[in-house]
Amino acid sequence: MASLPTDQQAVLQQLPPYLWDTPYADYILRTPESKRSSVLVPTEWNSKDKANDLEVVASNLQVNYVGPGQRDADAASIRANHPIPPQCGIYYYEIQIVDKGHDGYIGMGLAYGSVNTRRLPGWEPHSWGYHGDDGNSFSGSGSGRPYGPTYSTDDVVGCCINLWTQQVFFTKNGVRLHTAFRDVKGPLYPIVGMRTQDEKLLGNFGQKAFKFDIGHYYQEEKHRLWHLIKATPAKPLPSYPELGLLAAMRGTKAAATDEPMDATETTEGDAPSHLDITNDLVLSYFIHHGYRQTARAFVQNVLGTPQPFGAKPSHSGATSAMAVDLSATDATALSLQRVLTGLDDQDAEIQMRQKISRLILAGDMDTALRLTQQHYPKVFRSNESVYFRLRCQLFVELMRRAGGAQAVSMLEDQGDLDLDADSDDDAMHAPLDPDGRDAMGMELEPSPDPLASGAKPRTTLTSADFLRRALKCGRRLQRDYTHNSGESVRKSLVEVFALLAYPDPSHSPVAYLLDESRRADLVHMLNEEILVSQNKPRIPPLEMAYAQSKVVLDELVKNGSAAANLIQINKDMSL
Amino acid sequence: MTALDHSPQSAPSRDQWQKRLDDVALNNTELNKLIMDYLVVEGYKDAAEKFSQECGLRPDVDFVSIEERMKIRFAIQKGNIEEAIERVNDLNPEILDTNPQLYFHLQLQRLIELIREGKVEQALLFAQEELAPRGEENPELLDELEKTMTLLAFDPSSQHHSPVSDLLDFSQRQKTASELNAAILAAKSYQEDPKLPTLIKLMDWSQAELDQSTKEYPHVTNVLTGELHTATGDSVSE
Repeated sequence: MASLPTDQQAVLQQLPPYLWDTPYADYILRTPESKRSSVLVPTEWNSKDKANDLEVVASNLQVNYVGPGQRDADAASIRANHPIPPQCGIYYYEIQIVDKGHDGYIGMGLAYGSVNTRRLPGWEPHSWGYHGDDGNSFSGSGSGRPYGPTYSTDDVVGCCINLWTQQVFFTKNGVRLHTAFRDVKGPLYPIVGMRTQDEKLLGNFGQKAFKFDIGHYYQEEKHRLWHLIKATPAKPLPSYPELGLLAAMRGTKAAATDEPMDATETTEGDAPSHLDITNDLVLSYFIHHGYRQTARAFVQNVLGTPQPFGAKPSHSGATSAMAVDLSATDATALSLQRVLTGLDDQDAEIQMRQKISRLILAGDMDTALRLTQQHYPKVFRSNESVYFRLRCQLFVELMRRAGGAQAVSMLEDQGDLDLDADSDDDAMHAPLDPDGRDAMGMELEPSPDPLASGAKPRTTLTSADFLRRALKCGRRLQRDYTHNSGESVRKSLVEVFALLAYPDPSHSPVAYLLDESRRADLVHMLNEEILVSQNKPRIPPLEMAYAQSKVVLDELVKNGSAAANLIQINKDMSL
Repeated sequence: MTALDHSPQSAPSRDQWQKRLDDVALNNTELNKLIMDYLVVEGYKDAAEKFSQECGLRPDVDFVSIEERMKIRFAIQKGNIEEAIERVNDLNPEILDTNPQLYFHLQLQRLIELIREGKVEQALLFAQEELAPRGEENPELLDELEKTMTLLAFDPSSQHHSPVSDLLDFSQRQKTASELNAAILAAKSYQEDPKLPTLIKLMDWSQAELDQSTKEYPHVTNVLTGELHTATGDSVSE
């Protein structure tokens, strides 16, 4: 809490400390100030929601009985200022008996907003109370049931509703009593009532430390819920990914009996264990992030047998960290082999994506565009805006190399302003055709180090050369996009062409275009688009499971789910 | 209920939902730690080592200590249950002595391996002499024994069509290996359960919970693909 801005701290100060670090607190902070009071926990007694025979003092925390105090009809109650928001999960408040007055006919508990305040808590329907004079509990009836000890002057009594289980218990002087009521639900307010002279009580809605360790109870309930979640049985899955450990393991059964492999065949009611599913998710995570050696070792560990230390990779190329023991002829080794071969196929793909990413990060848009066109033609065909953004970036990179329009003087010196003449050093026009007519594609496969490929010829190029190429690139962009494009495209074009307006773009109002973070953004976007074009998930399913859980939990808290406030995915997972 | 008092809001569109998913601040370091924890707890030593190198994360555990657990796991994954039992007893004889159910499951796995190898006579003898007496003390275990014995009712070529064919899956070996692994960890008073699998259960649980108030949001129905499906059943990525 100390790390939060002051205004947020002020908001949290209104909550009892056990709620500070919960999804409910996050939700309160996300809620606009104008709407916040409707989801805020009670903070004081409501002097406008009480019987006349009560007076409220001490910042609306203390309540004194000032009526005649003779008969039951002289009873008087007061509610707190807000109903208990269901999304707080567990709600607790305490009162201290300042003075038991004449007879100590004091009751505390919960009630709907509609319940008559001329009655003591628990006497009416939708009202639940624990009374000090007899220790009885009352639930919608004037006759109580034996419940707990009596309470009187100086005692501290608390009321806890677990909105998840809908159960209510009370505490006396910090000691928890057993469950008083079940199935308690609805818009509930804290309520206290008195009915004999000189009775006084002081409410505590978390402003002071509670006598009862509500934080501990909250943690207990949290663990109980997690336990329930962990006990959830695995759900049957509609399908397994082709290159998955699950598919491989499903295959072993058939392979072991020399039957033809049929990966799609599943037994009825077939639910893979969470362990199997986890293995598959972990593998796809490794592959997605390019942890190639880990992926291999993992497959080997899950499906196979350990390699003796110092064993040399014996096949499947130099990229394999671990070798498969081919002498083990059992079915497991076969499926291990199958998965590893699949990994090899994926390796090439991952390396290509990584290569394109490195090129963009290094500013070599020529090669990046060309390789993307060559290896992922679907990306440009299905998403014109990706293609457009890459071409804009190409222009930006060329302008960066030219060092701005100051190079124009050199250009003039060379007497070469004929932009329409196709010179051989111009490698740009060929790949820039989304239809895939790639005239330059053949000579592309660059030297082993992708970064060197573009750099070599470039060292001989002057600023003027780059400016010329930038202008050409710009003209093509104009030609291809100005007449048949929407507003956003036109805006982007104007934005990048603004680079031409300044002698030194890096110190111009459009210098942000040269910011390296734009390259990283582009890499991220292109990587996702490539994955999508291959019908692969944008993010690994494991991360998807995390994100989906988080968003669904947020939605649950918003909808008022009490249980959801007991779950903090980012903290509880690594308890 | 107050929970539902709020005026019903229109269902979130796929785009809005996708945006919210994208906005989840996913901390890969945290996720990597969970994965490392999983690898270590499950005894996947080589993977843990490589992962440590490739993502630059140091595990808190000494790799050597994983190795003995890994050897035991591999023995079971190979189908060599005797070797696993021997190794566990070398490590700490109390583990199996104090875990009759675990010991039974190991013997059951041994029986499955005998059946897989087609050693019918040996399997029958083993079941009668080693397993049945233990099962009699515990009816629950006897059920499992009976279920396993039905494998013998199918001749080897059609065993995988039998209703209990999943016993012959590699997953069954893994299940047994994980149970033993957890027992070894418990004996060393390490944590027993890896945390990562809980994430899948959390997603299932939270979606089921939200279904109770609304089904009008994009679901992930197959955790392995991570595809979003709207209530009508079509997929976002299509």
